[in-house]
Amino acid sequence: MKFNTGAVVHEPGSTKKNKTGNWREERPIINMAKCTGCGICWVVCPDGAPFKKGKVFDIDYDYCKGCLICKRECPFNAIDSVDEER
Amino acid sequence: MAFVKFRYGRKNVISGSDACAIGAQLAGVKVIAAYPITPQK
Amino acid sequence: METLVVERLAQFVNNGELDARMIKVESEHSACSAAFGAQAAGVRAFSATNSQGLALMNEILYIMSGARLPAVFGIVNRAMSSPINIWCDHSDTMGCRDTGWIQLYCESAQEILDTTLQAFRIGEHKDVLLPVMVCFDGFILSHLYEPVYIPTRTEVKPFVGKYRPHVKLDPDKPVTMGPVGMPDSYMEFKKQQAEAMEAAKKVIKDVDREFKRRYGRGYGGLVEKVNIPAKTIIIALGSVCGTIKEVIKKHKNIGLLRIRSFRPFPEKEVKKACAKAENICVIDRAFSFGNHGPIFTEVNSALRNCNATITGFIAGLGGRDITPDDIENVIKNADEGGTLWLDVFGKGVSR
Repeated sequence: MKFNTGAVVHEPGSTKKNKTGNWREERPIINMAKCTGCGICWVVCPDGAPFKKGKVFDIDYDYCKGCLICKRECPFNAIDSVDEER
Repeated sequence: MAFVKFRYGRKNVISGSDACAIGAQLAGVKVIAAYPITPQK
Repeated sequence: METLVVERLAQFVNNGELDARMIKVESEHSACSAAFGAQAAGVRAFSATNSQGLALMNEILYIMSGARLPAVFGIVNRAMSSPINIWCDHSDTMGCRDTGWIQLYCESAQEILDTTLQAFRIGEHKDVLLPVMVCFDGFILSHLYEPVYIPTRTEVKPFVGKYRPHVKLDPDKPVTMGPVGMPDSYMEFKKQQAEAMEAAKKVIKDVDREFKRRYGRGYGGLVEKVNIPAKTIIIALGSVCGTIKEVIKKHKNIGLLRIRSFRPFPEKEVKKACAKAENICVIDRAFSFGNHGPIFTEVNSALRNCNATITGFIAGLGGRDITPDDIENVIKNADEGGTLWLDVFGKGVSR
């Protein structure tokens, strides 16, 4: 590990290397049949894990921490969740 | 310095606060952040 | 009391004698934050505060130091409420002695000017990169007038130079400052800070020596020694040292060790000066409730292998004058040990 003076991080965007997906205990799953592509899941996600895939949204599980705010906020109840398997 | 009125030989008679401010001015500080101050203009 | 410092700077900015931005903020917490932002953007930032204001910015003090940004603040030592007291006392800066700021204490207006200049060089040194508090006694030093030699900008330019930040916020070279430090790395950053404070000891001495060489005025670096070695040594900081210097002239074998740099603490210099002393008297203008005066505690630690009797004197809290008679009482009670209070409840000396 490098210890830069003042803990300054010199590499822009390096936070992407920190894949917080392994913090998850529950995994949200978007039901593509119900998804309208409204993007509210992306708006409310604290990590910006949902991403547009054609007309619908999918979740980047590298960064999804499993807070399930997307499931709670989806106006079409298009998001389910399952226990994360380890 | 406009405010310095009293001289004592080569020296000027000022307060410690003035001295601190002058030190900062001579060092060319670029930003002074403070609360509260009496606006000067 | 510190408002005079920034009001004077506001005048300079207003009349064109200083090309700087004055940021009027809503609280001292914001003042320190704004100074932090300015330093992070790569410029010299300054503020002045004391007492409750310094306490209010407390959490940001740690941040400035941890991020290794060398701001310089003028602190006009003043007592802490309650009761409300606007007079001289060291409780404010003693209260933040663990924040990782260098603390230099001045005895005269000339020293304040010179130390403020030195502060930029000390803090900005590549081995240090720590913020600096230039501390001076409220009213006694901040408001009383003294003859001071004011150098010109041309004179000090070669000494104070330009600020070359080791890092700054720049859209062309993006960096992150102040990220999270997890348990697996935080401690390493703190050790780096500790090492920087340690390195500051030599830098403070070198900078003062260079200043003396250039301008003929020096302050002893970390400590100022008067009549040392001596059988009895008084240790103090701030303007009271002027009074002590006058009183000990009338005595034999009494010396004064004025601590100029309290952080970093000059442990080696204290040990060396007190090596052959019998009695050490430490005057504290602050008190750590539940223990002793802060300087007393640190001196005891430095002299843990020394045989001298160390007596602490709590004096001058809340602007109570420390008179020559008080110093005579210190000398009279130099071998008492423990902590004594001077001039309280009508008693010259009491426990």
